[in-house]
Amino acid sequence: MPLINRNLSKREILRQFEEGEISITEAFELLGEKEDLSIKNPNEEDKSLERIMEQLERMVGLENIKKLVSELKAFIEIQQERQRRNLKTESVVMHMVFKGNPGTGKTTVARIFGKLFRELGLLEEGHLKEVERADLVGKYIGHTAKKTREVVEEALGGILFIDEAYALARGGEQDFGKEAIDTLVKAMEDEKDNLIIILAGYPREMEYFLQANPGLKSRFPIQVEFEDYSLEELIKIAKLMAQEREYSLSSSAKAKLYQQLAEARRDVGTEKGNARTVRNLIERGIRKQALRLVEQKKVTKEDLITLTREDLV
Amino acid sequence: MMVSVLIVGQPNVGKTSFAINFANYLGVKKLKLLVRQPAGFMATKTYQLEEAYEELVAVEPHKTTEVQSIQLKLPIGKQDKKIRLIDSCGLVDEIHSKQKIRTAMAQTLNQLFQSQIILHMIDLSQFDFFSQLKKIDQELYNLFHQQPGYKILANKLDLDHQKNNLTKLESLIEQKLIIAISALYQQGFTEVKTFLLKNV
Repeated sequence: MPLINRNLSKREILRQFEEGEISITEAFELLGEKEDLSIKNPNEEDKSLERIMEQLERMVGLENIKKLVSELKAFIEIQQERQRRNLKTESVVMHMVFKGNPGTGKTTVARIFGKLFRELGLLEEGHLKEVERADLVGKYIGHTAKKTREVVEEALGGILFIDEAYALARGGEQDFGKEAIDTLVKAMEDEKDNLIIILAGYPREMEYFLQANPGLKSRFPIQVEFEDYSLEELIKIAKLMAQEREYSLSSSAKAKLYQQLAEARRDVGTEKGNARTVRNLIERGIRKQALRLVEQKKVTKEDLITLTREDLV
Repeated sequence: MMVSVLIVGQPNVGKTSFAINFANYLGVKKLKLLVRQPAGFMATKTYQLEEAYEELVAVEPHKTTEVQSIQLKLPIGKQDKKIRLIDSCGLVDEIHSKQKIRTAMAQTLNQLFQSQIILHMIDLSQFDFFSQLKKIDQELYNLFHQQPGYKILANKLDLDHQKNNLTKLESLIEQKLIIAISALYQQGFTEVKTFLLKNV
């Protein structure tokens, strides 16, 4: 019988159990050592709040958003404390507009917001329901309201994230997009306490969309700008992405990446060369590296980890 | 902050049945369940109570293969206290042959260490075959019995006619940790509620 490794992480223990490599008794034994078995007391929820804040802190750049989050967190906590002491409270309206190019972290941040608001007791579930125009707008009169209400129902307790939201105003006065907006506005009022809506999209289009629908602007009091990442930040992101997958970038690979990103920016503008482009490049690199290594006679651990210049094409 | 209450036990001891009937007992009409969808994300699904019972409770074991949670409100004075009641996949001793069930059990294990309150459910009607606790129950008991948020729910009291098995159970483990219930007939629910109120 193989020796049980006592230094496994909790996730690894659960994985081994899932794979059928260890029995539940062994899993209990190992987990028991890890956790000192105290059933967590509610105070530990603060820790999961801390973990969420750390997750945000780890994201590259986004300084304005990190600042906003600590403001929002403080505001919510103080309002709750005031409520406990029976003082007048401001109603907490957290609907937001996220303006930014693709790949600037809008969805990732929305997901973190969901968890954060759940821990702060603002949302019951904190899940993220991601939709776009086609999920809300129907084909005939009355269809749209029904579709939109269904989507809202699924988002209750969490965040409804509407990507490319400006597309709702695409077709002019006759378009059913208007009906979707009206239904959303109604839902925001009916479900005040249990739904947060985030409208996301390109900065310019979103600005125009809000101008054209003045009622919306006041209902979405929080406007968040997602700036494009600088090339240096993108390289940092690339390093993190590689690290998460247990790869690392050689310095020539980094130089190559820099060059590729700079080219992408020059050709299509910043709308393209963002974090998503980086992820695609890294993932393609990983596949290229595999192709390169199977040809090789002898493969060291170092080789398995390293992405080199030639992998990034 | 919301307190998590996890229901654990062997398959088919009545965990889901308890969750639904307890929600009913607390006056919930519609159940909003947070269910992990096949695609991997979590989504809420609304059930009427009977519908939930029909769809989620089964005679065969291992019906619940995803951790599901229900939001409940416990009346404390003027304010309600919210709890998250978590129903889980049954745990078995042996290494289960199906990957899906193993994954679900791993989720349950993970929950065990994250919940403030653990309701460990044991089926009284199966008890007479074994003069001892089943291995898995014994292990759960050993791990958690010294924690304040731990209780054993001895379920299916309605099937234990002479209360023989309850007496036997009480001889094996600390009596004050046991609440005898019938998930089906909502017996013993007042005590469960009292216990929860004390611990949230």
